[in-house]
Amino acid sequence: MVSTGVPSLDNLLGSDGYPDKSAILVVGPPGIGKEALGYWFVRSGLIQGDYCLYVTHRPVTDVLRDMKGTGISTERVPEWIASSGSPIKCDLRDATSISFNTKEAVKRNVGRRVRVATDVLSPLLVLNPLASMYNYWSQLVAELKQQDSVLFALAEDGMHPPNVLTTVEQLFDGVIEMRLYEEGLAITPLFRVKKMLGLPPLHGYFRFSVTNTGMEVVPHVR
Amino acid sequence: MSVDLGAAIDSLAFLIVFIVYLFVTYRGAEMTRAFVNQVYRSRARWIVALGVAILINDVAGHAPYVSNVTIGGVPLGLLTIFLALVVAFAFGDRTILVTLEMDFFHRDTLHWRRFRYFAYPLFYGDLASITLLVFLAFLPSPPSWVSVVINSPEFLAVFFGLLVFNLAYVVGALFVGARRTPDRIIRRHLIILVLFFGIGTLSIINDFTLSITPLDDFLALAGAYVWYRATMTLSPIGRVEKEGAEASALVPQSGAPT
Repeated sequence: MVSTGVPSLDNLLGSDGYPDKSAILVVGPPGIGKEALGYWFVRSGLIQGDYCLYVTHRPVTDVLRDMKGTGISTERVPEWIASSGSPIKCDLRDATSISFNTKEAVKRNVGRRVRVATDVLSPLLVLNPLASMYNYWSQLVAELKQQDSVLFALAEDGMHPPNVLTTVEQLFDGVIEMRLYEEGLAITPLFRVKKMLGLPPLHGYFRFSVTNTGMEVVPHVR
Repeated sequence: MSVDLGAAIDSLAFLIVFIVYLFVTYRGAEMTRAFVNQVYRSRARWIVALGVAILINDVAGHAPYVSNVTIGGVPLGLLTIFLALVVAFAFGDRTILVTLEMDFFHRDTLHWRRFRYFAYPLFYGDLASITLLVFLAFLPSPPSWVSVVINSPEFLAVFFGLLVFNLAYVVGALFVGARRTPDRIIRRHLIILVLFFGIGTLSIINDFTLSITPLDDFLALAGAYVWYRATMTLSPIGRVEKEGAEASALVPQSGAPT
């Protein structure tokens, strides 16, 4: 098992985190904190000595600023494939090179546990036909899982019709959905684990909060 | 006992608008707490800031006693319009910056990153100059040139021209930004904001020129509703249903997929 970087989420997922050699998808609207889950996942890997790769369509400086904003020290950083600020560029117009560079980076680290976090799933799905992207991601996921790696991908739920998301979710071993909910006048950010390899279906919703010292997850009591 | 129907409608409109903005401002504050990403938290804060500015303007312009308050002889309601404009422009700027960030290719919509460095001094300078002139005009013995300047068509043309030009540019940049935003929820939010800014601009023109009260009330009500819709579409919000339902008790709304 691979730690999520959030102890309370590890407990929720059976004390150890995400399954080995798995692909995890986090779906939610912008701003809700999907990236924060990715940052804590990568941070946990860096602390444990795993090889961590962050594939993003944003500049490295933006991601680092975001990381600091969620209380994550940027003394140790992952290897980057980013739109700018990284030796390997992430060009959304060239999905093949993103896949190739990701797989090459993972191959260079055979023998180590690998964590790949990425936010390019939604952009690539928007910019390319679903059928080709389905094949693209299924191949990428399969190849990454042949190594000792965990893929952590983010998807923006407002960018895709429901059928597209449902199709893409089938490629992943775990799916976490985050969104805002209203209870009376209050608005609360909640998530639910839609599926997770090796776990029975987890019913119910969980409240999460991000502070300067970490992320906390507790069952949501209505 | 006769009832002034026009005044009653005006008061009712004020009350409805006040309640709507109060609710939306509270919702904005809740969203500020709920968002994790700094950019979105900042967006929610700006919604609160603009909501507060509009509430202040609403109270200063319509509430009994408060609407008679003057500062240096200048009606408070006039100054709060300027305050709302100051916040509205900054709000528009922050929103456009978010659209630039959301665009996969980070295109500079209508050269906004450069334009804003000219737009801020132009817009705020425009408002500062009119505020100064208004204060001077309300002095017990105003300088003679003040009334000449304020009443000159050239000055009014420059004042309104800069105001409307900047607001129109914001509307244009928001519209183009909305078209470039891949997120359908945010796109809808931006289009509604475009409508809000459009109504706001019409309202200002009416306030400063035509001063038709029924039109003012209509625009205020329409603006409040559009503002409510804009805030509610900042992020899809589900609703927690009553106890007793199955595990899937949380029903998503806002047309977002589950």
